Amino acid sequence: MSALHSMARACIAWLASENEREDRLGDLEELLGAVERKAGARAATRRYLREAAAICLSIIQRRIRRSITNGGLDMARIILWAALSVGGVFLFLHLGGGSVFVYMQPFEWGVMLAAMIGFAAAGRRLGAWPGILADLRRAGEVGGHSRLARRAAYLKKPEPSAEFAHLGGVFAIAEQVGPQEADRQIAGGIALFREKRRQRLGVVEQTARDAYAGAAIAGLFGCVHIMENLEEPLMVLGHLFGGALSAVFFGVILGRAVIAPIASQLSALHEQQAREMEALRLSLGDRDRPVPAETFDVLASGLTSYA
Amino acid sequence: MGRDNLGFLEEAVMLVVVALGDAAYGVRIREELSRRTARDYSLGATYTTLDRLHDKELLTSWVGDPSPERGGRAKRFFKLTDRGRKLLDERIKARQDLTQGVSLGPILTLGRA
Repeated sequence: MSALHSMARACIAWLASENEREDRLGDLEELLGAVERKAGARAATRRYLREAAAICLSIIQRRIRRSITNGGLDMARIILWAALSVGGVFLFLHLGGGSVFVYMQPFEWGVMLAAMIGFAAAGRRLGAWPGILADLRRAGEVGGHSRLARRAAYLKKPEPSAEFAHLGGVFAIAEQVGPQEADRQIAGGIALFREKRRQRLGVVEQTARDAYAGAAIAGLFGCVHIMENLEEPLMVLGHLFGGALSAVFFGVILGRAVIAPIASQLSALHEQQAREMEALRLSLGDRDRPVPAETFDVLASGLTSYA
Repeated sequence: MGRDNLGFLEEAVMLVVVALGDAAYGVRIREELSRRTARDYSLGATYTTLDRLHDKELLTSWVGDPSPERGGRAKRFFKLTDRGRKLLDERIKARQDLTQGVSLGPILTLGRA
């Protein structure tokens, strides 16, 4: 097995989750054997590398998709928070330095524009935007309703679901299967919810760490570039210094002011949702007592649309 | 894309999973898909579609036993969920309804004329 094969395998092993690693690498080995028998070692190696690259891309694509479409309203909050953070950064830059354009060269503008276009295109391809807009509209409607109206809206469409795809569904479960089974299902649903959210949060936190690492690497490259050009006039060196510092600045700002707050928001949101579910579970546990209206209000106030 | 919307590749993969029965796993699905559509799909594209169908709860999967030709690694088998089967039935029926009574003969003749 050549170093290329090992490298491709290492890439997949590094990117993939434990389950993915098992079947992706297994499929790849099986494919390698089949192509080798049919078309020879050279063709098999080419095919192996091409498939390994495609597998890596598919894993990356799925992770990005999952972290972006972090479920209904979460996504809307992420975008809103990111927009506010970027706006805040620009405002502070403007107040502190007179003009944001001083800090941004055409290259950086190009990168930002490309990132925004890519983000919008990815959202469009994933069909995320209509859902986000619908969630924002729904959130506005829920916020505007009275206490009773919110409760009615909350219970409008109950569908059986232990995963809280629609929170009203748990009432339907309780009606259908009895309190003990409902409690078991809901406890499982809560555990599943926590695990899924923990994984999603992990992706965002990792992205923030990657942004810091990116800033450090960009700064390092900038320093190397400066040292290569030490004999150039100050005007050229000034540009190089500016470039290196801007790269570090954007990386740190991206991690610290944009992605880290998103992670913290998500963490708080998930904890709140899990607590609401626990409250619901406790309320349903006591079948002799009706579910107190306050529980509905707590749940309705944190209404999210995973459906 | 909504949970009940199916793209061409998704529908094709679901049909292939049904066709392969208990032998529906990554490599076999890719091979069968490529053979039936006369197009060379990569494993990555196949996995992306399988993951998407799994996320939509149209497919379910389980891990089989390890095998030597796969370097001792296990296969992940796929099959349609009840919801997936229902949706696929609907799609096939809709397509049959759409094509019922339609003959492409005159259209092709007009095109040639």
